[in-house]
This record gives sequence, structure tokens and C-alpha cells, in this order.
Amino acid sequence: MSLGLRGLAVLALLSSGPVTTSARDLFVVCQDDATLVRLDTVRGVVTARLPLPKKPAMIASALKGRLLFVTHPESGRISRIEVANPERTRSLVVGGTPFGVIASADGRVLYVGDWKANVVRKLDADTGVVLAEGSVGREPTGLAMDPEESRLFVANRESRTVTVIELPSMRTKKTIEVGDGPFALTLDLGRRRLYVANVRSGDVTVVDGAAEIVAGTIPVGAAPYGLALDPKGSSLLVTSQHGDRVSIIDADTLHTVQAIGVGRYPEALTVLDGKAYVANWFSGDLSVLDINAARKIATIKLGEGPRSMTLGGEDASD
Amino acid sequence: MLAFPALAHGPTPIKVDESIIIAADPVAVWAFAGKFGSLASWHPDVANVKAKGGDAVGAEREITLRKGGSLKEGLDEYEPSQFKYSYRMSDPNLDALPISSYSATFVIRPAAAGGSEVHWYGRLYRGDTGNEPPDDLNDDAARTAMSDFLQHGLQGLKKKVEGK
Repeated sequence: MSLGLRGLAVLALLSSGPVTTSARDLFVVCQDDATLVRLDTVRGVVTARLPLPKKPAMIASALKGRLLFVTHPESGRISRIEVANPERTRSLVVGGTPFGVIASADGRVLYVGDWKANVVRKLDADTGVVLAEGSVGREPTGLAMDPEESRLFVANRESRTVTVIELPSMRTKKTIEVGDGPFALTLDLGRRRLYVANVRSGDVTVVDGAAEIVAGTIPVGAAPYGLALDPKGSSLLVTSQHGDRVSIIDADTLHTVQAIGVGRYPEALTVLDGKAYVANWFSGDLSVLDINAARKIATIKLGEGPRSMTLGGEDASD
Repeated sequence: MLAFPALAHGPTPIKVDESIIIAADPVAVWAFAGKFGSLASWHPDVANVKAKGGDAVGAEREITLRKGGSLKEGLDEYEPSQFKYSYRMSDPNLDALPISSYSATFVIRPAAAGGSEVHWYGRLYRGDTGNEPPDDLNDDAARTAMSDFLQHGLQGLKKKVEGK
């Protein structure tokens, strides 16, 4: 497969000058124009647009945001991007239909769901070589991993389940019944929970992270596609793709307390310093929300088909 | 070969976005088209609609196309104050539309120069979700089929409302 290495040299920052990144950079994958958009969240401006091979989908970060991985399900590849040296980006040929991805903190191992093969693969993050495989449900989508890297949670969109995989053995530990069309997952470490957004049943399943059983269901409505927890507060934020809104749920009471209008068909979102950054798939822009004030404070043009995002840059997690 | 999952779709969604200007205010256009089950009275490609559940979230409609074939859809969001509703496909029917999964939004807005702007847009996935789809089930086939269906509907609605 000579295809695998082609295109890796084309990735370069369109802006000239040395690459400077900060802990406050947000990287957004725009699927339809195949770019990775870098946004400086402090200034609220796009600082770079990195071309990627076609149809990029989901993104993961490692090394405290210095290393990024983007899946390309339609070409069976993963782009490996060094944030400070984007010219060194490599295209790993992994085959199949890689979609959801998560990386070990040290950037050595990737866990990647194969949309069509109903497995999650453990890959060498440097080469893309398969190290192990774990069985999951149909159409694995969102992934989450505990900080100890001892358990992996996988949303199975067509099976209405979440699979718990034990690491490093990759054994399937448990299958948990959730709502219809689970897509996004997020962990709440303080409350020892996993939240699961179910696109079709229009709700969020609350899973007790210790017992690995369903502890509650929160109605949200209108195709919930993305989830984020405010790490410094008690707010769980959920995008509703058909409602063009973000619901704010109080994670202590599990009640919806506010809804904020955003762009068309919102999907992924991230919370940083009291603000939420919401990628609107249809309108191709980013809505910036002030969470405490429960209002939209800015709209920033991104690109076509924004789907996934992660914080990156030097020491993004500090 | 495993059975094809009933609601399976591929990982890359396709955008469709159709609109039309109608010489009537949004209240008048909504009166024609705002009912979830009203499609057959204004969409030229639709022979009839069997609807249940009215305009409540979770309502269903089964559309029979004039060319043959039927589509089942469910109502996800209904906002009459904004002249807007969103719905999704319940079961794929590749003979009726070469699309494995779709969701769409119908919304009427006041036009800048008076009258209404009607927008009908959505998100869909091609008929064959594998990485090497045949021509009749690829992204272009899906995009064209849905764009045509939406645009024909908007043109039919314009004719009805404007009385031409």
C-alpha cells in the first residue's frame, strides 16, 4: 500500500512563521473540507488551518495535547499530528473503518473502534500496527477511558449498549443496556459516573461508574449528539442536533436548568474556563457560550462539516 | 455475510440544503405546510401520507411516493412559534430513496423583502455505507435524490400557496 504515505508531506500550516501553540488551543476536525482548524480560545480567533487527507472524522489527543490523532474511516487511515511540528504529520494505514479513537496519555497506544467490524483495536500509535482486539456491539462510536487506563467504555450505536473493556487485557468485561442510538460518552470522575448521549431516544443515560449499572436517564430531546462536563463546575452540557440548542444539566440533581440556542445541527462541544465551544455541523461555525450567564457570546466561522474537537497545544491539561 | 442492520449508516454525513421564496407571510405558509402529516396536500412527489400522533414529538408519518415506495418518518422536534419542525427516517427503504439514514428540518422565516423564505435541509448517509459503494448507492446518488425530493416539495408548496 503505497497510498499510506502519500499526502503526509502536504500537511502544513497555512500561516507563516514559527508554530506557537498554547494550552488554550482548540482543534476542530472539519470533515467536508478536510481540515484541522486551530482556534486560540483566549483571543477567539482561528490561527491555523491544517489540510488533512480526505474525510477526517474523530480526534484524540495525547502527551497533554502535544500529539493528536484523527481517524479517516472511509480510507482506513489515522493521521498522527505533532502539534508543534505539523510538517511531521504521518498517515498510519490501519485498514477497516476506524472511527472513534482515544489515546493513552503517553501517546504510545491508540484504541480505535471499527464502525463496520464491531471491534475496538489496540494499535501501536507510532506505526498503526494492531496489538490486540476486543469485541464490542454494532457500530462502535464514542470511546472513553478512565485516567488509570484500566477500563475502556465504548458506545455501540446500533446495539443500544455500552461495552466495558478491561485494559490492558482487552477482555469484554460487561455490556450495559442504554438508550437508542448511543453516540457520545463522557466520564464524570468526581461523581464516578459515565454519561451516554442517545441520539434516537433523545436522552442521556447515567451509568454508575463503579457498579457499571444504569443509575438514571435524563430526557433531553431532539437528537443529543455531544456531551461535555464542566470540570470546574457541576454542569453537564448536551448538544441537541435537532433543537439547535445546548442543554445545561445540573450534574448534582440531574435536572435540565437552561437551554441556549446555538447554530444549526450542533454536534461536538468542549468546556474550558467557564465557556463552552460548540461545533455546529450544518452551519460550519462555532458557538461560544458563557455557561454561568447561560448565553451565547460569540460565533466563529470554522469550515465545512465540523464534527469533533479536542484541546491541544503545550500542557493543555494543566 | 451478516444481515444488514436496519438502521445502520456510514460515518460521513452529507448535507442537503434547499430553499425557496414564497409570496405569502410565514403564518400563511405554515397554515399550508406546518402540520407534520400535511405533506400529501402540497408535495407533488407524494401520493399520500398516513400519519399518527399529530404534531407531538414522537408522531409518525408514512409517505407513499407517486413513483412507488414508501418512507416512514418520526417527528423529533416541533416549534410552531418558530414555524419549524425536525424529523428523522424510521426505517430505510433503498428502493424509494438511496439513503440509509436521514434527518431533516423544515422552517419558514420572514423574507427580507416581504413574504417567506422556506428552508428545508438535512443530514443523510448514502445507501451503501461500505467504503466502496456502487454508483447508485454512493454519496452523489443520496445527495441528488434528497435534494430533488426537497426542492420538488418546495416548488409544489410555492405553487399551492401562491395559487398558480
